[in-house]
Amino acid sequence: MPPIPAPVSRLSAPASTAPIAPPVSKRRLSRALDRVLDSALTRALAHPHAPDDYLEALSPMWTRRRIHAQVLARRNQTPGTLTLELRPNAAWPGFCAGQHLQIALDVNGVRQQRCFSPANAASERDRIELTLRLGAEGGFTDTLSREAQVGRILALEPAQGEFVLGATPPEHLLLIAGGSGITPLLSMLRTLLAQGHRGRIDLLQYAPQARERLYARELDALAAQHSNLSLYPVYTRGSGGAARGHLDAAQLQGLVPEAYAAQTYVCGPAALQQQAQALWQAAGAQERLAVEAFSAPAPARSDEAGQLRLARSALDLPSDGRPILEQAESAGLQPAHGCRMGICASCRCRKLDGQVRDLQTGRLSGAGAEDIRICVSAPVGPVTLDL
Amino acid sequence: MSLPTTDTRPSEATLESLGRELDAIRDRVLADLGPTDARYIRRLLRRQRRLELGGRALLFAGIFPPAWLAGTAALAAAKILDNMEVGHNVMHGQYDWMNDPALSSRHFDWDTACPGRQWQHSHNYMHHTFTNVQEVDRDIGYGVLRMSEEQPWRVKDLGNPLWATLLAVFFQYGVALHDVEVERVRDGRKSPREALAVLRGVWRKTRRQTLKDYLLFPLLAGPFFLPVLLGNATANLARNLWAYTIIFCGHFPDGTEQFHKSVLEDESRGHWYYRQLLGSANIEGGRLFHIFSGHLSHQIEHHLFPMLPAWRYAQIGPEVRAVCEAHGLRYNSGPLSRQFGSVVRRIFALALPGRGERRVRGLPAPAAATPATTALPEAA
Repeated sequence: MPPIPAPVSRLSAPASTAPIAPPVSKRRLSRALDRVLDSALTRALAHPHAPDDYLEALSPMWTRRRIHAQVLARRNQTPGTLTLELRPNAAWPGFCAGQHLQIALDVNGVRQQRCFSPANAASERDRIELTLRLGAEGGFTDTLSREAQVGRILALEPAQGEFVLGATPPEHLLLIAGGSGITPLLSMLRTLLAQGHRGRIDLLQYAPQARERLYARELDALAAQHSNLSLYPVYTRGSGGAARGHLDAAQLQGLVPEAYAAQTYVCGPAALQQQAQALWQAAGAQERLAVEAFSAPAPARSDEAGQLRLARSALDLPSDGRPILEQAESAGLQPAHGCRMGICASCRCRKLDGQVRDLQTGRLSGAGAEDIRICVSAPVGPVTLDL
Repeated sequence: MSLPTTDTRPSEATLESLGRELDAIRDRVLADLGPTDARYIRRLLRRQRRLELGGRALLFAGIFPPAWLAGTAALAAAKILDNMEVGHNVMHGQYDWMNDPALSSRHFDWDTACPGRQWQHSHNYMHHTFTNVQEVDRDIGYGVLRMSEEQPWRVKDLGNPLWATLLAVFFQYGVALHDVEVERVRDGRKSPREALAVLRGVWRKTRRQTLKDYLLFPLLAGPFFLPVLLGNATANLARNLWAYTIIFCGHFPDGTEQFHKSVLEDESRGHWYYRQLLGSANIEGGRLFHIFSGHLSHQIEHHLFPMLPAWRYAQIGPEVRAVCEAHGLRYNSGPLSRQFGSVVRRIFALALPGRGERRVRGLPAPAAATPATTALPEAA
């Protein structure tokens, strides 16, 4: 499952994929526990630490605010991918189909975070299913694969993202998935079908070849069960699918002639996203297209001149155009950071004055004091940071 | 234990090679930081929290003397670990590289009266940068004690042993109030407004600490209010005495030096190392002793490399010692009894005017011509 940078388009408010709650008695018990363990009294007793600090020392699964999840099962669906089934603790607030969560993991002792989209129905409150592509993310997924043995407890950050279904599911939904980009789309699909949604759903699923198609069995079974779901496997390098080769106008016309009229969600490699955006733009249907990026575009380098002043560290550096986080690290500092792709805001830092360029959107910031994400910002002119 | 009586500052070449060799040790450890360090501190933190929970739970059964004793001991041990091996070291930024908010020097606070962010200023900056420089490093005597012969004797210094005892008993408050810098307010070098802001921060923290240990936990124990209250007070006292003992052994045993302000002008890296080395003293002991002292028993290594995870000091200690000895510099290390004994003797000796053996390095000429070298009478 892919890491996902900031959502590219916003369709509407998060969907009404209201999670089906666990039994009432269990929920009540959990709420009562929350009231006790998160009360002002408990916090006063734990001072200056947090109640979760003590609960975590007993068992990470007992924390009330910090989300932890235990690995229940793991399997390799295809070569090069790993599917994990997780049981989250009571702190997990659930997610909307299409959103992504973050896993925090020590890689060589350094805590890193990466985004992954659950593939299961959002109505399943006490289960999270993730599929990740191995070898991606500079060793993160490899470390995760090694560490995430059955029984192991992982630290998560809440789900977020605006790549979600609208409040009312569309009459005609088109999902276009490339590789492990299937996961958020599968979650949408499973969530809608579990709700008894009867509208038309078309799924174009891209994979290099048949044996690399993720969730093949599950999707085939869903398509057989639900007459409103049409599944089109497309293999870019192999035969046997509904079509062969990368997405283009003719292929789309052949598979789903009404594509541009459908509400469309795309998640996959950069090339697939760009192709979809070009097609939908040409058809004047961009407003019906939502794209979740497959891999983080490496934060570009700015070629603007800049001067970086780190007030707290008393450092003054000429900017080399890289993100401020990287420049500060090169200067020997250790700023807090998370995803390093502009999503999680763990690296949020106070800019005291000066302007920065957002390397992902190209947007120029204001000149005053404000919080910026230093992993995707580069100085434009002199910039002073509280770092 | 005798040192040259005049200001024998090593040559620039010696200082330079000292700096280079110590830098090399630091760089090697920095390059090696990784999962082992992460595992160490996480495991320690987990055990510390469990110990605290266990101690507090036992104290609820504190009506039975063995439970009270065990609970109080566990709570005292947990507070010591929280303050020293976890709090002191995490707030130094020794584990910032792990990028874990729970172990970040920007977020962590410890179970004492002193607010973490405030302590970071007085300790990490003032004390560690200007270690043992008179009038700048306020850890010299904490503004209360006469710890050096260069400090002019005043009548109140007759009470040196008494003040020291009070400071030890109320050490957490001493540390907290340290940053108010009363004497600088008195001299008009610090505005009362600034001092008041510090006091407010201390009060906010102290109020919550007091509420927790002396009201909420005892109340929660219902009929066992008193045993819990006494247990908590004893644990806090034990932590205060222990922290005081370890910390005073860091800079005041026989053989440690203090410096005149003038050394700070254009100080080289090598001389900075030299000053840290001469101003610090180690305490010898076992692995557990080092952990419970927050590895401040390796005060020399800590002052040379305050950013390195403290548990590494034990590892590099022999190398640091070898480098020092190769340069003919003293590596001050001894058992707790000897180091603390000499601290106590100094506190008594300096209660009287003009006594003590403290020498100050780096006095500008001609004032440096006669640094005090009076031998300290063994029985003070």
